This record gives sequence, C-alpha cells and structure tokens, in this order.
Amino acid sequence: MSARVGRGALWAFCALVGVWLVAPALIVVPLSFTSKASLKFPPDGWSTRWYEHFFSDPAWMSALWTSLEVGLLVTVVATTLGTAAALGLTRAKMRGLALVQGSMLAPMIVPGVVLAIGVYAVFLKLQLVGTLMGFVMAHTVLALPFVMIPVTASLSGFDRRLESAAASLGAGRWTTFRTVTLPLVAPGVAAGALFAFVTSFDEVVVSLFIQSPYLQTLPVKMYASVTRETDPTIAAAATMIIVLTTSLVLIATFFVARRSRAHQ
Amino acid sequence: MPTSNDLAARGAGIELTGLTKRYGDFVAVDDVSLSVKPGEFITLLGPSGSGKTTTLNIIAGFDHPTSGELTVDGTAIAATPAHKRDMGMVFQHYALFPHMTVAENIAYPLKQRKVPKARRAELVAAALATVHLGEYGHRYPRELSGGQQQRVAVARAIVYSPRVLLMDEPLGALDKKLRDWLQLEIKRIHGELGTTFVYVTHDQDEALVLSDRIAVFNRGRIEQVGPAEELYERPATLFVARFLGESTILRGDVTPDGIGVCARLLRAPGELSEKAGALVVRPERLAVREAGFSPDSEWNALPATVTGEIYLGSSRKLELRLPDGSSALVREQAGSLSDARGGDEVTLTWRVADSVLLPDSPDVEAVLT
Amino acid sequence: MASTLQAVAPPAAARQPADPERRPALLVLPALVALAVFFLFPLISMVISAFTDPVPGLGNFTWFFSESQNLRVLGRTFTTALWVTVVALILSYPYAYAMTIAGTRARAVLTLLVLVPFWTSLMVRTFAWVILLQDTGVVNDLLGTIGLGPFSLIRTQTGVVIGMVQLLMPFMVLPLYAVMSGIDRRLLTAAGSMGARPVKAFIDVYVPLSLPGVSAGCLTVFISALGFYVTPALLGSPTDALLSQQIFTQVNGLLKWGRGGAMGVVLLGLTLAMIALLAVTLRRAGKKVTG
Repeated sequence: MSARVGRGALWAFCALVGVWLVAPALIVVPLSFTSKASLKFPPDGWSTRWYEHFFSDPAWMSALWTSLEVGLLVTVVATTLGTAAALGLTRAKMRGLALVQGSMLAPMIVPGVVLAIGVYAVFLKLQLVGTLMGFVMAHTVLALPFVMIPVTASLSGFDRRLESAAASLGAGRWTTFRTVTLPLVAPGVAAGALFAFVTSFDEVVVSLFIQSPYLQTLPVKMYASVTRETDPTIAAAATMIIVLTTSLVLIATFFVARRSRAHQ
Repeated sequence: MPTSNDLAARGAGIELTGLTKRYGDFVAVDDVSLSVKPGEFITLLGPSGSGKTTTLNIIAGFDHPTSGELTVDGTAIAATPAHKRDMGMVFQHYALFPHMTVAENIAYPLKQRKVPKARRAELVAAALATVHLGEYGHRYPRELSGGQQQRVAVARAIVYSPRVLLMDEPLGALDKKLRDWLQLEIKRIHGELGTTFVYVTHDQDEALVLSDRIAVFNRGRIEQVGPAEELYERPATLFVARFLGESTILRGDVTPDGIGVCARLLRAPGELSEKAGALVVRPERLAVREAGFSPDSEWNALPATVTGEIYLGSSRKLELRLPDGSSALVREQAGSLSDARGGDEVTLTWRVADSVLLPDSPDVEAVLT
Repeated sequence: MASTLQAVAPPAAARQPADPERRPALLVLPALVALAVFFLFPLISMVISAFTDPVPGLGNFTWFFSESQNLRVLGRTFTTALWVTVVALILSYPYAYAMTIAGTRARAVLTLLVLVPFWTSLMVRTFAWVILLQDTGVVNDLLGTIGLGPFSLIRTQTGVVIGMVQLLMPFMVLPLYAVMSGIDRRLLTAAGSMGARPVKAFIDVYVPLSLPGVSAGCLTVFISALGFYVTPALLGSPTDALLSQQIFTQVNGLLKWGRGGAMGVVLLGLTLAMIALLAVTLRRAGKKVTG
C-alpha cells in the first residue's frame, strides 16, 4: 500500500531530522570525557581530566562565576521589571499601549550585532565596559521579553474579580497582590525568571563587545577558545552549560505547562 | 439558463452483503446486508455509535470492511479507492475549502474530471441554480450562513452528476427552522436529479420526511428496512418501535391466548415463540373511555389513571398510569377530545389489530437513553 | 518570533478598564526606562554615528553602497539567509506535518526534539558544529564510510548554512505546526470524495491552507538569519564574511564607528522591512481565516 510506504518514509525522515536537531549538542558530552588533548570524535579513551582542568583554571572559573553572578542578577532585575511592566500593560488603559507593548518585545528582533555596537558605544561613554553592572543591564534588556511573554500569558488568564473579592474581604492593595495575584501568576513569573537566567547565561554577541580581559562571561570565554584553542576543556564547559540550561528550561516548561493546565 | 436538467444522473443500485467492520474487539458494523434501488432515497437511521456512519464511510470508500461485499450497479467496488468511486458526499461540517470561492469549490470535482472550462462554468451555474444560490459564486464560504454553506456543499456534491449521493448528517449543525426547510430542498433536489441518495441521520423526523425507505441501525446491525409507514405501523423490533415515533409498551408473559399485562390477559395480533413479550401501541391508536367501560372483542381494555395532559393545539397528549406502575401515552386529535382530566380514573382501549406484539428486549432502554 | 509575540499579547478589547488613578502605567516605567537607556539610546547613537562619524553627512552610506566588496557582502548575506530559509522549510514542512498526524506520545517527542535545541546554548551548538564539520570530523567520517569526501565543510558557506538551519529550525517548525494543526483534515477526505487523488488533494487543499504558516516561518527564519553573528563567524570563512561579521570587524577591529553604524542601519532597515512584511502577511492570513 502506497499510503503505508509514504507514512513510513515520513517517519524515517522525521527520525533523521530529529537526530540532526539533537545530536550535535549531544556529541559534546562524550567529547568532554576524552583522555586525549584533541577534539577528535569519537574519543579514543576516557577521563575526567578536562573537568579537573576547567575547575583549576582561574580564567575558566572566573568566567563561570561571572556568568552565574550576571545571570542571577539579571534574573532578579529582569523578573522584577518585566513582571511589573506586564502587570501595568495588562491593566493600564492609555494611548499608545500597543506601541509600548511592542517596544518591550523589540530586543527580540533587532539583530544582535546592531544592538551590540550601539551598546558598546554607549557603554564606552558611561564607562560600563567590562563592568558587572554593564553586563547586567545589557542582558536585562534582552531578557525582558522572555519574562514578559509568560507573565502576560498568565495574567491574561487571570480573573481580576478575585482581586475585587479579596478587597471586599478587607485586604489592602499590597496584601491582595501578595496573597492573591502573585500566587496565581507565580508559575508564569517563575518561568520568566528561568528564561531570563538562560537568556543571560547564553548571550554571546553583546557580551563580546562589552567584555574586558578582566571580566568575561562563560560564552565569551568559549567563543575565544573555539577560535584559538583545540583543548577539550571547552567541551567540559559546554557539557556543563547543556546540563544547566536544559534542566532550567525543562523546569520552566513544566511551570508553563502547569499554568496553562490550571487555566483550562 | 442552466437548470438541474444539466445535472440529472441515472442513479445506481447499491448492494451490501454481509458487511462487517471490526476495530479490534469492537464490531462497528455487524453483518449488514442492504439492497438500495437505483434512484431511491434511503436513510440510515440510528443513535450515535449504531454503525450507520461507518456503513456510509464504507460505501464512500473512506473505510474498508473487515468482511462482506459491496457492489454498485453489480460491480464490486470494495477495492476501489474513494476518489475513483464517482460518488458525491455531503459532510456534516460541510468541508468546504476555505481558500476557494463558492464557484471554485463547486468546480473542484469537475477539474478532477478534466471537464473543459466552458462546460465547467455551465455546470457550476446549474448547480448553483439548483440550490438557489445563483449570485453567490464569487463569495468565500466564510461569508455565507450555515444554511447557505450547506447548500454549497450539496451543489458541490451533485455538480458532476454522481450516480450516488451520500449525506452524513448534513443538517446536524443547523437550527430547527432551517433544517425543516432544507429537508424539503433536499427532497426536491432528489426528485429533480434521479440520483440514488443514501442519507445518514439520527433524527427520526428527518428520516420520515425524506426517505423512500429507512434502514434502522442499532449496535452495528440493521433492525428493519422499509418505507416509513411500514416501520411506524409494523415495527419489527421493540427498538424500532421505541426509536421511531412514540409508543406505549405493555410488557408481559406471552401465552397462546395473548399476553398477560396488569393481571389481565390482553389479546394480541399474532403469536410469539418467546415468553417475554411487549405489546406496542401508537398513541393515536389509543382511546380513553369512562372507568368500567368494557369494549367488544375486537378491542382490549385496561384501567388507568390520567396523570397529566399537554394541550398542543392540533392535538392533546394524555399521560396515564397503569395498575402495574408503567405509563401510557394517548394522543387525541382536536375535534375528538375526550373529557378526561388529570386525576381521572379511566379505561384505556385500543383495537387489537392496531397493536403489535414483539419480543421484549430489556436492554432497549439502555441503548436509547 | 514575532508570531509568538502576537499570539501571547492580549487583544486590546480584553484589557481591563482603567483604574481611576493611572497607577498601572507607572508599573511599566522602570522597564521602559531600562529599555530607553540600554536599548533605544544605543540604537539611536548607532544611527547617529552612521551619519556623523567621522564627519557629518552621508559619507558612510556612499562608501557602503559604492564599494563592490560591501555589495558582495550584502548579496552574500541575502543569499545565505535565503538558502537557510529554503533548507529549513524543506526539512520543517514534513516534520511539522508529522507532528499534526502523530499520536500524543509521538507528538510530545517530536515537540521536545524541536524545543530542546531551541533552548540549548547557541554557543554550545555552534561549537558542536565546529567539531562535527571539521575536516576530520564526524560528518566527513560518515561520508567517508559511504565512499564520499572528504569535503571541506568548515569555513565554507555550506557549513554556515548547515549550522544555521539547525539553529533556526524551531522558528520554522513552530509556526508551521501552529497553522497545520488548525487545518481540518476532513477537507482532504472531501477532496477525495470528489475524485482527487490523495497527492492532488494534498496539493490543492492542504498546501494552500498551510501557506500562512509557511510565510510566517520563512520570514522569521530569514530575519534571524540576516542578523546572525556567532555561527557564521565560527563556521564560515573570514573571506566570505556576512554583514554582521563586517559590522563587528569595522567597529571592534578597525574602530570605524561610522562605517559600522551605516552597515548596522542597513541591516536594521532590512530586518524592519522584513518584519513589516511579516506583519502584513500575518494580518492578511488572519483576515482570510476569520473573515
């Protein structure tokens, strides 16, 4: 039957595409356990020496700490700003609201390099190049849309009469927000926070411009290593990034899924 | 001026023999045999899950029988794919192509048949005229009302003069008034074309209005096939009696002399080999007389209490309770109303010849409710 | 990505009536300020430098459009983005279609396969492609076993396209799937009943109805591919640089802020034009479906 053959071919094609989608990232994992000092795949022998090397090399370690530090700060700042903005935008009624909303999401569509040279120029003037503050603010702007999207989504499914109910029961504005609004939109906020962290933790292009020899993030250090070295430490770094970001995203996706289920 | 004459077709005869369709352990269609005459309007009637739609899909070629035979005009077509069967189909949800105009939708089957462009335009115009949508050719389906979309679907299915037109609950999504009107339209179109119509519905009124013959489906089997009048007056099974129209059902033990109901022996037309029987009487065949009335031997009588009355203008319905607790329904025509009122003790009577004795099947109620 | 945004942003009519005091608007302010200082201001200063550095005027733009080198870069950026889009579409269309006909579990697997790379670090995936595509890499080994190659893949346009397609495929698959899952498959049955062979029915009915997803996916991928930096920088050849790499070189290497800015303006302009196209397409598609 030709229909069955066609269907078989379709599934085979999807399996190939699926492998092609996922496998590239996964070959990094075995590579990080190679015993040789080369990026040959598949490795000839196994060891954990590149992890030892990663954790004993001050350059890699400081890049890791910088990335974690920047990532956590961005998470806090972007989640706060993004949640407040999403709240404001879903409730305010004013002229140009759509414009504001659109501009909030603009960082997602402007090419990274274009934004990067602008940010670089401004940061040179403000002396923010190579500073923690600089990284945090640049990444925050990029992370804002990823906070606003899930938070806006959970707010749009939120019944505002619940707030009125809380108010009628004697709760003040802040108490209402803390005890009613926040718990109900919390999954969206949590997802946004995780996406914010991942956005910052992954950012390369802008970071390449605003780094300094003394302060660089992990992806920047990786970028430099790919262009210069052939030392598998980078594979160890990549593996750790995969584990960290994948688990964070899976958690975030779980939150989003739970939220959408709760609102059905 | 194009008319439905352009679309007239010689209807095909369809023969189903021992058709069975299994999905794993579930038997959707169970040994169905049915002979449809050329040009006939036959309705497959039954509750949901009774196998009527699966049977239609097998005729259309969307589904394949596990066993059994299917012939059209004497040719076996079980192996013919749907697109080569030359049948028209009207779907419950119309299935109009949203990206094509009404005219493009109707021209689509003609294009598949490589009908020349000029002829195509004529036929599309004829089909649109037949369904009274002459000026709507350039519209998109979304710009039409539900009833108009339904007529486009009909036009699209008849434009290539198929030998058989299959319709799957085509009026299911429309409101009552529109449905009543479109039923008449479909009947008119059937009369004009001469195509064989196979129509699936769960609506008994629709089946009664439209059909030359009705096949009543239950649990994958055909319970009875026949003209509406035969099904109504002489139901072959309790299921048919219950599904088609209203009836009073008197259950009891069958003896050679009749059937025992409410500690009385009622006379029954004919005999039954089964012990558990059900005497079925249609509401308009029942009459209400004063308590203690005793009729002649042509008639049966039972004491009853009137529990409710519903005035319907042209008629009146009375609900009665019998001594064994079961209920009966009487319909009296305006102009010959009795003076029975709620709470009255009365005698319920009917002619023996107006009742039907059927084997009881206790699970009928479960299927219907 | 704009399509995701539109889907999430609530329609104006659904918004709540204004509070008597305009306090909600104040909540937007901090984010707006951050956006103004760290996003809008940088973009504006880039545009300004394009027109003023080193001297005021259109010098940087006349330089850009008069040097054949630059026009070649622009052309290459376009063709690369186009290739990426075409290859991504060819791979994604059957994939998204399979997602619509798959059972619940198979669909979850297919979705996961698209989404996990979506969120796996860009840097990591590009690094992985560097290893895969190197002259002694896995791809050449595999090709070698079937008697082909070795091909030089890294530092070529082919390598760039392969890497970018993989990175951008989620942006093609997701809008395609969104549109395809809304197509009534009964229409195919209907076309069959009217005499159309299955393939013909698919082309006549399914493909036209999936076009909104195709155009949304293609434009999104094309837009993203236009501005891609890391992947072409690491997988491509320095002599075949794309616009984003040239911008990087002008500013970071040569300190030609004006020229880099002018290129940035061109890239931004192209991107915005494509986004406008996307918006128009989506609106038209929306109209066509809802009427």
